[in-house]
Amino acid sequence: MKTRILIVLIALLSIVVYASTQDTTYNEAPMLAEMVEAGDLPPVEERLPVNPLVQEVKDSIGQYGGTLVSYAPRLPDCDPETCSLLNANIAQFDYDFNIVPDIAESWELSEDGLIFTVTLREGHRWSDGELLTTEDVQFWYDAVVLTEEVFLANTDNGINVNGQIAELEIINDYTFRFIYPERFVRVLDTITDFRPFLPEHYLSQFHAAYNDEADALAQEAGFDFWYEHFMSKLLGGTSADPYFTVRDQNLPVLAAWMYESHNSQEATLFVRNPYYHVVDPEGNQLPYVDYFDRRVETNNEVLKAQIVSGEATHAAFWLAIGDFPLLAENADSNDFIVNLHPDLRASEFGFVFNYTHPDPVLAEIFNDIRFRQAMSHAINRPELQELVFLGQGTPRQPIFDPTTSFYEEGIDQNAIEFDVEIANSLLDEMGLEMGPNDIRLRPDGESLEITFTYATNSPLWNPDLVELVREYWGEVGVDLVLDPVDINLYRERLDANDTDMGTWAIGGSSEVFSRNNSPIRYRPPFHFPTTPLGGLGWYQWYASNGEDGVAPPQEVQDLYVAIDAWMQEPRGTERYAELGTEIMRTNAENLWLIGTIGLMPRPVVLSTSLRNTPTPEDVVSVEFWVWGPHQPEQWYFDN
Amino acid sequence: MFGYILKRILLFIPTLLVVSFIVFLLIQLPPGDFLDTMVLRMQQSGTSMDAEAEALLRERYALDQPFLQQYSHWISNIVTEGDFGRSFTWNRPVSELIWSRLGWTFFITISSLLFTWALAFPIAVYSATHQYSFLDYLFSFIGFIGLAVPNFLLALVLMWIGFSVFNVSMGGLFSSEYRDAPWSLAKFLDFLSHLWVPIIVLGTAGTASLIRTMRANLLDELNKPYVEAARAKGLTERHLIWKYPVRVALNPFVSSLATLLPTLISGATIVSVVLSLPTTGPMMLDALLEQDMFLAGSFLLMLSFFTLVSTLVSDILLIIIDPRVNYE
Repeated sequence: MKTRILIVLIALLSIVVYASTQDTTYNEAPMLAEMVEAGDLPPVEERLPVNPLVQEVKDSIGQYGGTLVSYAPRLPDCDPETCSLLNANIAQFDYDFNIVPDIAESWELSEDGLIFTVTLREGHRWSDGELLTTEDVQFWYDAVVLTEEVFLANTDNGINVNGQIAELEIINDYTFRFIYPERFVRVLDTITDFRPFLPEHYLSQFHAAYNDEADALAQEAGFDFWYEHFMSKLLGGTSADPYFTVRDQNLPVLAAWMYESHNSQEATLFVRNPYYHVVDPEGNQLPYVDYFDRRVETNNEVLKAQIVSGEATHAAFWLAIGDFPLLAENADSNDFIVNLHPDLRASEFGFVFNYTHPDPVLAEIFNDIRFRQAMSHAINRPELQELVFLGQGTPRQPIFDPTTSFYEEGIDQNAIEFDVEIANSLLDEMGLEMGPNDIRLRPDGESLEITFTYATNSPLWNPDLVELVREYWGEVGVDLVLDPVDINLYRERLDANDTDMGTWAIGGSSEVFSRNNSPIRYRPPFHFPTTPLGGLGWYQWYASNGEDGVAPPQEVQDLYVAIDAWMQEPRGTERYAELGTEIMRTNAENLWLIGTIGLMPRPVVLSTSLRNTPTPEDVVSVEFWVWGPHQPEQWYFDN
Repeated sequence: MFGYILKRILLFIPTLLVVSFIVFLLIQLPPGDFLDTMVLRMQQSGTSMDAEAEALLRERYALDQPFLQQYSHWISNIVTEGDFGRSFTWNRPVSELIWSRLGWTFFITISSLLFTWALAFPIAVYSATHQYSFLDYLFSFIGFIGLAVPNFLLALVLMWIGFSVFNVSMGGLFSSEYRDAPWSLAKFLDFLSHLWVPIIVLGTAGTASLIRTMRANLLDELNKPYVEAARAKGLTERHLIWKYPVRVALNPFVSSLATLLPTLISGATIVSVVLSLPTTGPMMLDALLEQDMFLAGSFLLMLSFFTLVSTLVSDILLIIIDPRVNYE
């Protein structure tokens, strides 16, 4: 009896001692503790920054160990499914999509929007144990930004202000600032995708300005020039090479996991970064999970079969709504859960007419708002939703999603209801009289034919959807001529202003994407300018300050001005909301971009034993880089 | 005969040059180039590249040069330095990528070829000597099914059975737990348990056609007077059949080597994509779709080369087994 009490006492005492040391000491994964014991690694206190990032856990404090497994169809991509686990930027999104610190301890933008000051964490170390300091920022600036061979203009949007590059000023070992040539408040939106630091101690050997032997090193590695070698080391791409081909164990990183090995089946294994700067509220160094195994299945069906048979611990990016039934059927027996999470894509499919069509008759028809209203009313969205999208999603125009800070309920419902009568009367009112074969006549007497060019080798253009739309518009006398081509030819035609109509999935439509990249869906040409969906002439006019292209009507000119002003306004101000509302309303009223079904939920697969993962009401969206805000470093396996 | 072989080998060079030219031309024919594919994929992931950067990269990759210049640059590097160029998609030298895949391709192709032979040969002899017997009908029936079912469909069906009955994914050559493991008995057994699927899938169609050809040939021979004469002289039936008509009827077996190899390799492309095999097929298909022309071109060039070699080997074998054949 006495001994038993003694044991209980000792146990209690040790718990108390353990708990009281929580505030001052940190814990680490067993695999790292072993290395510390063996003398291969300094103790955790020395590895963490003086002020590590303390991350709140979603549900519970985790346990160490295990391997995350995901699948991708090809090796070289830095797809969101993979790279959202390997990111390390100045800042990051938290669960509620607030921008919170990551690598930087703090940052500040001056009142006039000209000086952006960033403070790094003192004692923060690269994955090889070297200190991260402003020297690494200076190196990034000199070796990438100021080196012509390496830097490709415009792709690093945190320092690029309309083609002018910001100046870098180093204040001390941990503080630096960018000085912008003009007001640039949007930098605050870009910092979740901005990493102005590179490990100088390692990468300088590959750079010709730092090492005379760099060319020889490059040739040894099979490259022609040093800069190709150097750029191949930039994981995730600072700018030029977005491809994830880095296979260098020695490359220091700041992310939660780092490259470990690669096998003949193209699977890449990542292992925990022993110097990762994030701890949970109890001082346990993150990540909880030891390894991340990214496997490759080149065949899409095999890839899905692997997920269905429970091989993946998490999957979202490569899944579509059509996969949900099969996943749901197999979830229980194969130890995973599958849920439909809200996604933010404005429309699964959208149409833009070519408002600057070389044929003046068509251009005039397209520019008549009644025509666009009629075309929208003519689409039977409920039927489309049932036949093509399993009845999921919402019939809507591709206007901002409801998480937008200035969203107005119902703004996406303009001309949304299916009504052939309204459509016909609008077209009649325009004077497009019905001709022979129930096809309307253009003002010049020719029949109203619109060529629907689309790509056959892309899943975007679902053949059922294409046929249905042809049928709907045929009902009201608009003859849609189908013109299936190769996707590259499609792009070339768009770029040459040689299409009647551009179509695409309308993603990149959220507030966050519009600010972080550019508001591609809310101004002509309604996509990235290299893939203009419609109104290319207007964009050329805007981009050349009115020298080239076609002068747009007043409301489009106003829209361009409003968007430029909006991009210069910090988030959360009154003016920001005003301008945002103006942009949103102008787009909603004018229907330049006609949508079908939007806000399509996304099937998300998660291993049953995985904890701290997104719950069904959490948004999982490409707009937020899929897993990005869901903090994969705090996921853990509950055994 | 050596003069003949030498002549054939010398002929390889112009043939390969022509093949390489056509291959390169065909890859370049579709609209767009590798950068277009790359930009599209970036857009899908929510990033983009502006026109200026695209132009710069196009210049760097020499994609803006005229076709003939690109081709001559590529082919002269291969001839002078054995340098097949660099894959755009993988950002690695082509030669680093293709050899292990070519190895697997040949391993699987030759395994299927041996499987085909091992199966076709006895069945064909049996069917011919026991014409219109029950087993002859049965084998012919199965053979025709094998011939009629597309390979990839067979692969899909086997995979579906594997998934729904045994709850395992049949894709690839190894289970996931052995992918990284060093070679061991367990890994080898696991490998064998995956290997039979592609071998059966690839082998069945070839088996059927080989059975039919061999059976027809043997039937022709069996009615010839020399068979009668041998039988009249009192040779045992087994000795007679194997020693004379089978040897004569063997010709299609050997000459099929030349035609079977390319068929197996091209058939293997689709099957490999379906089964996710680490062979040339999926990577080559990807390279073609993405217009990664140095990678795709090098694959096609190597495969043409091996087809030429296999034709030569089968011709030489024919001379050896059949003294009547003489190319001089």
